[in-house]
Amino acid sequence: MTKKPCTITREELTLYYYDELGAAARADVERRLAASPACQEELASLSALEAQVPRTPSVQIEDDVLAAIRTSTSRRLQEEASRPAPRILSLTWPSLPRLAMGMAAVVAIFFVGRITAPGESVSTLASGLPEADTRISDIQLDRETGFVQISWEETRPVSIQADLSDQRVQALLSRALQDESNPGSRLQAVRAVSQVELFTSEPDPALTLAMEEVLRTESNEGIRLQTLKALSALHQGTPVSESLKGILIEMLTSERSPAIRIEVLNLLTRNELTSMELQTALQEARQDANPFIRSQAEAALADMESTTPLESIE
Amino acid sequence: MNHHEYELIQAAKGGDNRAFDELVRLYDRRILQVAHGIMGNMQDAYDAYQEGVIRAYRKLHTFRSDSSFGTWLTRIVINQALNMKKKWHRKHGVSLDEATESTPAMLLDDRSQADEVLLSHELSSEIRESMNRLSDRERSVFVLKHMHGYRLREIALMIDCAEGTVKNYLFRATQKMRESLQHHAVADASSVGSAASSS
Repeated sequence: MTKKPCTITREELTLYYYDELGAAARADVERRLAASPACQEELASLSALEAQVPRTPSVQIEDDVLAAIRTSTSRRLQEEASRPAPRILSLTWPSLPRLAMGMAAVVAIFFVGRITAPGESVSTLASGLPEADTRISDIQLDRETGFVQISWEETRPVSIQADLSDQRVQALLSRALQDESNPGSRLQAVRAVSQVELFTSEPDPALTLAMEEVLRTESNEGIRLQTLKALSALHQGTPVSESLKGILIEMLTSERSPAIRIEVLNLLTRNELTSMELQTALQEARQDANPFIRSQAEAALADMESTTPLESIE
Repeated sequence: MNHHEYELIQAAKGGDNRAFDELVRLYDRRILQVAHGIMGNMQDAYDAYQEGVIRAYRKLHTFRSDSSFGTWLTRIVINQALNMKKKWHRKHGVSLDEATESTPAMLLDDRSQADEVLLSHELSSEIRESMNRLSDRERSVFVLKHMHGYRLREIALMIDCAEGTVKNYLFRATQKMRESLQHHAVADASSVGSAASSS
């Protein structure tokens, strides 16, 4: 004898399972459930989901971790609070000269950059960049304005605030990128550089070279990944240099993290695929433990073979 | 909303930043967990959470108390998380989840410690893979309902759509999860079987 099919819809059962039915609908489902082994089976299969995906949050956050996150969030809130609030100006004739002077000052600051010490008024960049061995202590990028503030310690805290395209800012970012002993600033610098849409002119090639250095020397996976993302953003529509290509090929086969290998592969396969080293690396990547990397490597190799006869690859 | 929360909201609206900080702390752990469920890793969850909090701070004057502050803040953070995923997807042509499959989020700033601790609590790869098959909205609803037990009407407020639509998302998400996890179970069983027969 065949079992009667369940007359309760899956939608109804799902809502019943998650306790989202009204009292009457719930009673109705329970009555039909009691009378139907097929419905009971269906509900059991829904309940089996709970055994595989527990009905608890996907992550537990320990108190000390939460405390660190709170400290960081409070700091960002303080920075946000200390920003001047946008004001609506009501223009009157006597205020226009002052407005013109204000605008002139803004323009001057934009072109000259500024160095400030806490509690002091803005001064010009007469003192130049800090000494070569000065340690960058903080880099903060305002994504809305495109201004970056870089701080360091001399006899007292000093900072420069200017547009991302400002040469001095880029020089300081390069310096932070090269500072192996200070991963925090290194990461902040990488993040700032990755905001390519905020550059109003071509970024200094020294930044790319400094990031290559990060890929070579940085032991932290997260920073290497962020650096790759920044390089990827910088190389939108442009081929990577030979030196960078060499580093990437090496990383494709030696990196432990699949996320990094994926990013490497993305960067590498943007270019014309014509080197023997790359072909060998891709062939190796075809055996990668990660299925996405395998399929990407396969596609890149097929692309390589279709556009360039293999015997002509050097 | 209890009286203490009401007072904090009023104080925060009046410019008391400490009150805002305290308000956020009433809900932060749970919101971070929701963001983690949606983003799939702690680094991105943290980014979405922090950007969401800053956005909430800027928009506090628009909060009308027609939902709890927690629901409102969760909604902003979820929006932020979904936008981040969308941007990432547009830019890289691959989902954020695929690219962060192993969560290499050990960043050496304030959250390094956080991530190190959190990495040991990540979801199994089967669950993560199954969740990656859900659309962003389906996954948000699944996380909010299945993992956090929010009521559907609250979820509707959080993801800004009708309750009926949330029901559909939930139904589709559970169906997909069941099918996907079943598929994994069958694949595991057959690989165990073939290993046993070859030995």
